[in-house]
This record gives sequence, C-alpha cells and structure tokens, in this order.
Amino acid sequence: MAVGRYMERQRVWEWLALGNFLLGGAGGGLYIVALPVQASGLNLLSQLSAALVVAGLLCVMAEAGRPSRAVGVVRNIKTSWMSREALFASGFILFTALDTLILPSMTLKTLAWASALGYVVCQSFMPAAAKKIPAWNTPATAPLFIALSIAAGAGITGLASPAANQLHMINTALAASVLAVGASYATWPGATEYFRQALKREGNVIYLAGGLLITALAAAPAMLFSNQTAGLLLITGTSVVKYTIIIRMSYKLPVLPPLEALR
Amino acid sequence: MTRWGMAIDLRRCIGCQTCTIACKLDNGTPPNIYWRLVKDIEIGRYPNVKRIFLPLQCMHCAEPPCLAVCPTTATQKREDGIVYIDYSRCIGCGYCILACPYDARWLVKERRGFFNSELTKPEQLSPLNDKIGVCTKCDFCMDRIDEGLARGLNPGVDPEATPVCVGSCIAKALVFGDLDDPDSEVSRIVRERPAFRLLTEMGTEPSIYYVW
Repeated sequence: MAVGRYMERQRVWEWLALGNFLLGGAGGGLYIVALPVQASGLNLLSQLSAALVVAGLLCVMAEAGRPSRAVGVVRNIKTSWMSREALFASGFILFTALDTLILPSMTLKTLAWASALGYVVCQSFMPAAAKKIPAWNTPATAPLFIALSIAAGAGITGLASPAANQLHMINTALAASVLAVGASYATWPGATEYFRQALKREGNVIYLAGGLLITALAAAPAMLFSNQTAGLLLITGTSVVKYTIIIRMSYKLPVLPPLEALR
Repeated sequence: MTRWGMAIDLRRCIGCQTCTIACKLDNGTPPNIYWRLVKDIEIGRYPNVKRIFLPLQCMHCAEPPCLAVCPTTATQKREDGIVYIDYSRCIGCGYCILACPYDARWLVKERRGFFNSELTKPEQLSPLNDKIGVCTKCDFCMDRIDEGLARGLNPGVDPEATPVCVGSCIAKALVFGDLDDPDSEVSRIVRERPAFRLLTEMGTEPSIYYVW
C-alpha cells in the first residue's frame, strides 16, 4: 500500500520534549556513571546532574498547557511512564540535594543512584508507549533510550573527570551497547511499513546511522582518543540519535481502514 | 452491563460533514479542533484503489491507550465504556494525543474565535471556553445520554438522549446504542453486516464499528 502520502509528523512533542530527553536523560545518566567510577568533583557533578534533570522537567512544564497543575502528574503511577518518571525525578533531586547540600552519606547516594536509574528507565519507556508514532512504539525504543542516556552521562563524566576509574572501559561498553541496540532498533523484524517509511524518509536513516557511528567512535582504543574526546563523541552521537527519533522520525500512524475489508 | 458504541455505515456516508458541524455547534469546539470529522481518503494502489468517506472520532476503546499514559488520571473510563476527560485535572502534556492511534484528541492551545480576536456570543457561551491548555475529545455526548436516561429515554432510539452527530446524519449512516444488548439496532447491524474496526492490531478494542 502506498502509505507515504498519509504520513505527517506529530506536532505535540517537539523541541521542548527533545530538551527533556536530552537534558534529563543525560543528567540521570551522569549520576548513574559518575558515582560508581568515583569521578573527581563528585559533589559538583551530582549537582550538575540534578540541574540537568530539573532543566528537563522545566522543558516539559514549558510544553504543557497547564503547568500550574504539574503537581498532579504523579497520580497515575500504576500505568503511566510519565508519572513514574516524575516520581523518580523528584526522588533523585531530593536525595541529591540532601546528600550534596545538607548531609553527605552513602545511603543518600545509593538512593539517588537508584532514583536516577529509575528516572532514566521510565523516561525511556515514555516514547515507547506512544502508539500513534510507529518510530517510537517499538520494543527496542526503551532499551535504546536507556543506553543513549547512560552513554551521554558517561560523556559528561569523561569531559569533567577524564581520569576517573575505568572510564575508558565503561565508554567502550556503552558505545558498543548503543551501537548494538541502535542496530536492532533500525532492523527489528516486527517493523511495520510505517516504521520503515519513517526510517527511509528525508534521509533519517543517514542521521540515525551517523549518530550511532559517532557514538561508536568512543569505543576506539584509548591511544586514539582521550576520555574527553570520547566524552564529546558520546554526547554528540547520542544527541543526534535522540534528535533523529524524537523530531525527524516522529511520523504519525495514518488511520486507514483495511483494504480487504472494503471488497 | 451497558457498553455504548456506534456503527457507521460507510456505504451510506456521503461525506457531507453535517455530523462534523453538528458536533462543533453542540460542543462549541474552537477553530481547527474536530472531535469528529469525515475524511475523504483513497486507499490501495492502482488499479486496486478505493475512495471512501471515513468518519473519525474517539473510538471509546475498551482498552484505551490514552487512559494508560495519562499521568494525572484526567482521562477516565466509565462502566458504560465512555472514555472522557476530567478537564480540571488535565495538564495538557499531550501524551494522550501521542498514545491515541486514532487522532481523536485535541489540545486547545489558546482562546480563539472563528472570525476575529473577539468571540461571538455563541462562542462566549461555549462550554469549552475556559478549557484552555487541556486536551479535549468526543465524550459520546455523555451529558445527553445521562440526562436522557434520567428522564427514562432510550439512548440510540430517542434523539434527545443520543449523541448529536447521530441525530444530525442526513443519510442515517450512524447508529448508536448498547453493544452489550443483542436486541439493540447497533448490535444487530454489527452482527448481520460485514463489520470491521480500525487499527485493531493496536489492541485497543474500539467501540466504533464500520460496516460496508
């Protein structure tokens, strides 16, 4: 079926939503990586991480029609990934603030780390639940976004603390994960015609492949790139991939009756 | 149990948009917001092509994806299957719009009139006038249904208790009623005519049937 003529992009979640996925995702990912590698200036990185998550939430609020009602966003923890994201984000900001500003403790750091992980996971499942967007509504979307956010966090860690423990090994593992999950996202066997169209149209496949390749370069041997360069590559590559999926590939599923039903 | 639903006869629909206008008038939806509309579509590839008029609205799904994603529980489903929005809870995040496969939800971004910046008298009286920054959609005219039932009327039979689009259809292409009642006209049509629902692969279990 010639589906191309009915495909148009959604106009609901655009640049501000992308801001949440980029800033918030990288913020959560930063804490997830920075704590275990004992990055230098951990206190400052923790605060940067929380600031990025706050910036992501502000993007969401700026896009919402009634931001003054934002407190009600946690009412549907049972089924809504957005509610869960907001809950974990609140927990992360609270625990990080307590740990870095009032009472530094390993317990609070652990709680903040778990919240950051929960936040990144829930945020990554948000686009996957959008049934209207074939390029988001895939089984590989959430794993890909989790990998992208943590890789972006590792990128910031590399820029801020290049001598952190085993950072190169972590960068390599994350870059390889992004490449593997990204490839399975682009080639998943259950892809509908609409998903394939979204990938093919307007050079999207080039953007996606470009983002994945830039990310993969971070896995190059340490003698080729410093941790800081690798960090820059991770941030750039993962951002390109998120931009491609959230903005460029966000074509809506057309509402068409099955042709065979009309015979 | 009652489960309200609709059968839309595509062979009868002439694409006149009377239902679209009736819905806009009754619900006072602002410009560019269509709780229901009739699309003129062409599907297939030459020479196997069909052109049809396809009325679209909220499908009042038994498994509504909009309800699952709504972070504030503004989207609710009643026992009779009607999916509606509690506008006092909606934050206008738009997540439900992206979760609904049917393009049935509309974010009202600003207070706008049809003619110029000043609203006409009917526009000022619109029940949606203060619903700015929230998602909106068809609620099967549930106020009409509830008031009709309270007066002992039969939704789907008595026009005053039936969604306004159904009553307005000049070709009688729309039939409303209780899908759980085997004797209702809507159940009979769905049972006796070739019927299909849209995008059932999404697992939404829509309550709108199209007959051909």
